Amino acid sequence: MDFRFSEQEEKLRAEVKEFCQKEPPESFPCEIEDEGYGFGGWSRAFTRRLGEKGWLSIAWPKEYGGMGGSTMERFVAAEELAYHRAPQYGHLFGDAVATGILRYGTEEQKQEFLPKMAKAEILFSTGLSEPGAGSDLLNTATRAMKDEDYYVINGQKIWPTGAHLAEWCLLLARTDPDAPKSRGLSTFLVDVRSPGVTVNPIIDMAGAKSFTEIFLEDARVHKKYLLGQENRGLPLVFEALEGDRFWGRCLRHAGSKKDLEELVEYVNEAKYDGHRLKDNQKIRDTLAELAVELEVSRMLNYHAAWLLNKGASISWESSVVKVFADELGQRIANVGLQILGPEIQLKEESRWANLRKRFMFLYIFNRGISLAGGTSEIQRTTIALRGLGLPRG
Amino acid sequence: MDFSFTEEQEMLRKIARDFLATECPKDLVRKMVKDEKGYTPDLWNKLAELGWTGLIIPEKYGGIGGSFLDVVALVEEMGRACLPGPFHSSLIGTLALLKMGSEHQQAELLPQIASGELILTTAFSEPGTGYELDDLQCQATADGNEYVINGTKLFVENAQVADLIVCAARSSHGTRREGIDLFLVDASSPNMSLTPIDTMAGDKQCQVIFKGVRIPESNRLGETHTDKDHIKRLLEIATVLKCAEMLGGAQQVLDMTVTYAKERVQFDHPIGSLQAIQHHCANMMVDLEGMRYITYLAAWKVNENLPFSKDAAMAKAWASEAYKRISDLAHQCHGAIGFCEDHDLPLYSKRTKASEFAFGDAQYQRRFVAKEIGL
Repeated sequence: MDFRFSEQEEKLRAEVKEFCQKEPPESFPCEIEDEGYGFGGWSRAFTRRLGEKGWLSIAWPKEYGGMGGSTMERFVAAEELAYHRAPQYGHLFGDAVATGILRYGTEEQKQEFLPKMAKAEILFSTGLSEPGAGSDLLNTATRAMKDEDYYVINGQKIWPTGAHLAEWCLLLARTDPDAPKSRGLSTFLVDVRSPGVTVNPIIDMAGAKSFTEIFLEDARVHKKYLLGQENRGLPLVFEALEGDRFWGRCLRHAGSKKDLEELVEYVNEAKYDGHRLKDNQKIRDTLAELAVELEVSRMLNYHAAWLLNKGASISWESSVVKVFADELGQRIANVGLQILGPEIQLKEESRWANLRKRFMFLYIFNRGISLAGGTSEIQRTTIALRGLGLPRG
Repeated sequence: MDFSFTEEQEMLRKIARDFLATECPKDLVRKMVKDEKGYTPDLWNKLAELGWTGLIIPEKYGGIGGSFLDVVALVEEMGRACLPGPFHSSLIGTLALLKMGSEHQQAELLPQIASGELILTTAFSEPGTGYELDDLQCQATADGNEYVINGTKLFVENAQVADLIVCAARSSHGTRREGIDLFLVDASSPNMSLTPIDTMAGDKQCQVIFKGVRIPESNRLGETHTDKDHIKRLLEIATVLKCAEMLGGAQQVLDMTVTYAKERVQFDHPIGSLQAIQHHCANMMVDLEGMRYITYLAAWKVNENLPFSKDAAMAKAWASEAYKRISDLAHQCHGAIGFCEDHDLPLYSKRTKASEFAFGDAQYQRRFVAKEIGL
């Protein structure tokens, strides 16, 4: 047992920290207000800068533009970025795709995509859900029909994060409608700028434009962009989702740590009704409780990262990570807003106005966090079936 | 980063699990709830033969010289088996001796503890003070070469079978934060009364009243006016061990529930195929996984001599509430059968409550955590 990071991991962490202090994420030109994960404005320039540093491809092999590092190094870098509220889109959400390409892609696909992804010259979104296939992915109706060297794709995808910012999409479509539901699905690398593909942003209830819908009308995709074998797309998708559950949530403790620190700072200073907030036992107990839960979340995340780094499966562990992080995020947002509530009339010039704005955003946005990437109910069923071996209903 | 135990620790764990499955069946646990002593010398001697009473004791004093993490692995298995008797309470006393005892005291007592002849316990809590050392009332007044001890101690675990009680008492009238020492008190001393407390779990907690109990000066652990932090550290180590015991118990509670959910058929299907039950079990699993790693983190820091006060408090704050939630859901999944006195589940769920309070409940721990996060 050893809960220290290695010297090399610590060195990388220090580099990332120094970078975030010298070139703060918020100092880059903002392309959209929020990519949806509470980390402020998203900026391709910032993402490209990460690419220059080599931090978009830490754990990929060197021959494809990677750094040849470990998953744990990548985790450490991402943890530090999250603490400094760097936007996550493009450095985390592309990775499920990169992993898929590394594992299932042809040599040609690896050569074509990975070096460009490593520099953020191209970005990927992931198109899985459909109006009739949310939690039930096997119900995927988008159809890909073979036409000589091409597949012609028709259908609709909903909820891909950032497809309007990305050039490419990893897309799930049905190639064999006659086979059993799980056997007729394939995955494609689709250029969303090509004819027949329309991407529209969906404005969520927090006002953010992070999610999208994609319409495909006779979109032609060359067969060289079929990822993996035809009709064998499902394992790839499940692995990608496993990665998404982990990478999408494994850093929330780091971002939330900063939120909690700022809340503590506020409580130490603020007064309400003539009483100092920091003398309020209920507030003290609640914030301490959140600190404990953040520590639990951190350890759950470290554990899954350790498994992943060893090359072990995290099929249910990633669900534990996700369900805990998502619901904790909701509790933190709720507590933050309760505490900041009396200051709801804060003027813009108040130094706490940004904190209140941030918690208001988190409060609304985190309603969706326990839905995205598989609802908490789906995660709990996964834990029960795969983690505990309970029988399928 | 490495979350795994060593091969030796895994082996110790396996031996402990197998041994306790055979030697500590639930019928014995149930019997011991009603037994006056609360343990059988036969099983105790076997634990000693396996070297476990001396696991943490250095080889030069007849022990095994194991690490703290070795002990954590063992205690976790004991929690899983619901082992009755004074192992845990004696271990805390042993740690006090190891941390603060003089070389002479260690040389005299540790070999007897390792061999299983000598059983210790500790006396900290008092009516109205819990584990807050600042408010400690028990007095140890110097009188020539002796101390005279006066005061009341609560929740002295297994005092009814202990040979020596490690008692925290105030030996000077300094400020609240100073003047506390630990004293070795012979449990058969005159002017002392031991009364079992009627607790929910039937674990053996006692009230011990000292009315002018005289002990030689040489029974004080270490130098006088020990740094209070030493005693606080000891309580924190005990807290981590309690978390390990709770972790083992919680794991067993979940295992029992999953087994039952797979076997129990209603509406022609095992109830474990119903999502209501599956999600209860998943919630138990999330709580348990959290308990596991937050406990191991604190234990590892103890093992490595790193600062661990905050980690111990966080682990116990989480474990106290997580274990309670796990037990509650286990009962809900078991239905009425788990409500029966002769079912195994109540053995655990009643101890859950006892463990929650041991060494400070969640709120107590969070008062400390609040300071640590800068409030």
